[in-house]
Amino acid sequence: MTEVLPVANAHRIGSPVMLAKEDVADRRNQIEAKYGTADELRRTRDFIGLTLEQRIALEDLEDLEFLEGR
Amino acid sequence: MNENAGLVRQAEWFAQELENLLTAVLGARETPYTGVPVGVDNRGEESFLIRQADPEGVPLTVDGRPLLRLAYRFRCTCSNPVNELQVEDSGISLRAEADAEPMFHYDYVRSVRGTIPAAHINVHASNDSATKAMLACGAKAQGRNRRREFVQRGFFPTFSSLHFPVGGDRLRPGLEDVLQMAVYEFGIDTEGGWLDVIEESRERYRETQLRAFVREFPDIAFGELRSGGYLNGDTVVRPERVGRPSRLKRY
Repeated sequence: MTEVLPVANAHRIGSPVMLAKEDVADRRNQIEAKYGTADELRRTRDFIGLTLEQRIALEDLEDLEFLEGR
Repeated sequence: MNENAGLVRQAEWFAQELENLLTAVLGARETPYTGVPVGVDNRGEESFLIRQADPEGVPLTVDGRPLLRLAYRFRCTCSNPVNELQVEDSGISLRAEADAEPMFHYDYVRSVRGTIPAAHINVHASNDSATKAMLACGAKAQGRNRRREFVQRGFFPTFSSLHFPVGGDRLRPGLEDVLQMAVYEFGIDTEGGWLDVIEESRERYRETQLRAFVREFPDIAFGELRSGGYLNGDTVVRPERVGRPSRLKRY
């Protein structure tokens, strides 16, 4: 892949933020404290559906699962 | 030297490519469309998440008023010997501004489990015939499993749980296709020259996939080149397609 520069008027996105395992765990704990675990959210989704906030929370938890290599 | 320094840059460039595409098609705005990539180093194996900056999605407007929200996420790793970032799984979705549930989402899963196609679309709609068919699979596992899920967990099979295959690993739709669909089907606001930008981006994407196909199937590529008489000289000139759009660009 060759270098990609911002085109006219586009924001420069910048280098990735590298998270430590503790950062990932903190983020997960914050989300779960408010919305429940990913499994709980999936059960709610399959049963009655999710609010937008819950859907975003589930996506965030699944992102964290991916980043951890689960 | 960190052998994975290249992956960090690749993740940055991928995110920048998405930002460039959205800016050129939808227009510049105060805040970026794409979030800064997030990465984790799992004992030398790095994973990156690239997605839109706003968790609620990118607003797609019609006459300046938000009508839809576009969401995209690309979960990337590197497990190939040439140290190239690859998409492990991805999702692109559209939802109406007022609704929590998406209208549809295109998903890709490289390491798929079970019977789900690697590249597929889920459509969030109602279809009684489909639901009846999903439950009435007789003695087959699909029917038994769905009826059991309903009895034990209250999970009623919905049309959105069907996975429609779309093109496999190499020919799956991309963000360009969803953007173009949003323009054609919903008339979203765009910048001048948006179609050229989308076609050029699509062409780059498909060329990458084509190169990957050739690497994976050199026998087929070689056979075609030989039967086309291309192997006699030092260079190959792409044949002209007068009046026919390039398949690398076409929607």
